[in-house]
Amino acid sequence: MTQHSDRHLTTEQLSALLDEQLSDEERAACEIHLRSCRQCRSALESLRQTVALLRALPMPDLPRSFILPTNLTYLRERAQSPARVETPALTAPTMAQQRRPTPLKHPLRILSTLVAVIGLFFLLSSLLTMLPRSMSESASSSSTTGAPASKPQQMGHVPATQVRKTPAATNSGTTNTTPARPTPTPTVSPIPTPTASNTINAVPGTGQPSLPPPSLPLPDLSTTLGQLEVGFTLLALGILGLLFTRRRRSV
Amino acid sequence: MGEIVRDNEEQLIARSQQGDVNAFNELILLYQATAYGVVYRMVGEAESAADITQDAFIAAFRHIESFRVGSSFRAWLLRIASNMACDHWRRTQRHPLESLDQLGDEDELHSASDLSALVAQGEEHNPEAYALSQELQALIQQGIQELPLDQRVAVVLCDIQGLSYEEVAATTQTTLGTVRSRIARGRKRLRDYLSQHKELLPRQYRLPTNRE
Repeated sequence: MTQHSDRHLTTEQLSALLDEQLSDEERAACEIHLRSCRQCRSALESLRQTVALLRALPMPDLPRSFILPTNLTYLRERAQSPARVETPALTAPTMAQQRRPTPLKHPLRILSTLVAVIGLFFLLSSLLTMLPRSMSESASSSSTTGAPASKPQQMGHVPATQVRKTPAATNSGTTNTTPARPTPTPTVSPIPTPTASNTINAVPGTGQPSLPPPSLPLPDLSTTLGQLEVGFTLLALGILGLLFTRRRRSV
Repeated sequence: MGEIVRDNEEQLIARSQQGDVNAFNELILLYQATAYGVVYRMVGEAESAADITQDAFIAAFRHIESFRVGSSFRAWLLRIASNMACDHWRRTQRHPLESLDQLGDEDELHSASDLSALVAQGEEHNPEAYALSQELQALIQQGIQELPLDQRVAVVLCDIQGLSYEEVAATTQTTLGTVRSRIARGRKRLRDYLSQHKELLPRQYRLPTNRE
C-alpha cells in the first residue's frame, strides 16, 4: 500500500488522514506526497472543511421526551416487534431464554383447567350417588351390564348397597396421567361398573379379574370414596397449576 | 468519573433486563438526545424522527435481553435507531438511494428546487457568523439526505455524533475498512454537493474547487 509520491492520494486516504486512521508509514507517505502536490492539498482541505461543517451542525432540539410509560411491562411479553430490529447472532441464545417460559405457560394453564374440570366432574358424580335414591333407581337397570361406561352423563348408577372397599393410599402424583383402573379384589365377584368417566377412559376390569395389581396404590375408582379422592386430587392439582401459572405471569 | 457513569449504566441495564421500566427510562434520558439526533439527521424531518426514536426505544426495551453486557450500549441502541430510520427512509422515498459502493464515486447531483432559491439569496448571509445559518443548515441537511444510506449512517455517526471508527463499526456491524471507505465516500459526495452551492457558505468554509 505504499504510495508513490507521483500518484495522487485517494479520497479514502485523505479522509483517513483527517481522522488519524492511517498507519504511520502510510501517513508518512501521504505527507511526503502532499508537500509536493497542490491538488491533493486542496482536496484534503475541502474534505476538512466538509467535516468542519458537519461538526458545526447543532444538535436538534428534542421535540419531546421519549420516556416510556411505566405500565409498559406488557411489551416484554410480546415477541413480535413492528419493525426490523437487527439483533446480531450473539443475541440468539438470550432471546430463546427470554421466550422459553411463554410457550409453556399456555398449555400448562389449559392442562390445569382441564384437570380441575375433570376433578370437579368426579366430585359431582360421586356426590350425586350419595344423594337420596331418586335417580339411582332409574339407573339401576343398566348398572349390571358391565359395559364400559361410555355415556358421559351416567351418574349415580352405583348401587347403594355396594361394599365399600378400603381405598388404597392416595397418590396424587400420578392420578392425572394414569388412566385409573379399579384395583381388582378377588373376593368381590360382581364388580360394579365404574361410574361416569367421560374423558378418562376407565375400562372396568370386570372381564379380567386376574389383572395384576398396579405397583402404585391408586384410589379405587369403583367406589364412591375412590371417586371422591380422585376428584379432590384432580381439582387440587388443577387449582394449584392455575395458581402457579398465574403467579408467574405477574412477575 | 467515567467509570462511575459506566457502572451506573451497567446497573441500569441489568435492572432493565429484569423488566424495570424506570431503570430503562434513566437510560433513555441519557441517550435520547443522541438517538434523536442520529435519526433526525438521517431522515431530515422532526416529526417522523420523533416517532422513529420513540419506536426505537420501545423496541430496545422489548429486546433488552439481547444486549450483550460489556459491549457498547450506545452502539447497540444507535443500531436499532439507525436501522429503523433506514427502514423508514426506504418506505417513504420513491427513489431510494441504495448502497452503490461500486458506483459511489459517480456523483450525479441534482439540486432540489428550493435549493436554487436559497442560492439566489446567498449573499445576504453574514459570512463571518460562527453559527451556521438556517439556510446553510438546511443545505447541509439536504446534502446528507442525498447520501446513500450506508454512507449516511457512517457520516452521521462519525462526523455529527463524534463516534470513533470502532464504534461506528460496532453500530453498523461492519469492519473498520468498510467504515473508513463509507465515511470517505460520504464526505466526498457531500463536499461535491456543497461545492455546487458554495455561494451559501461562510468564508471560512468556502470549499476550494475540486481537482479535475
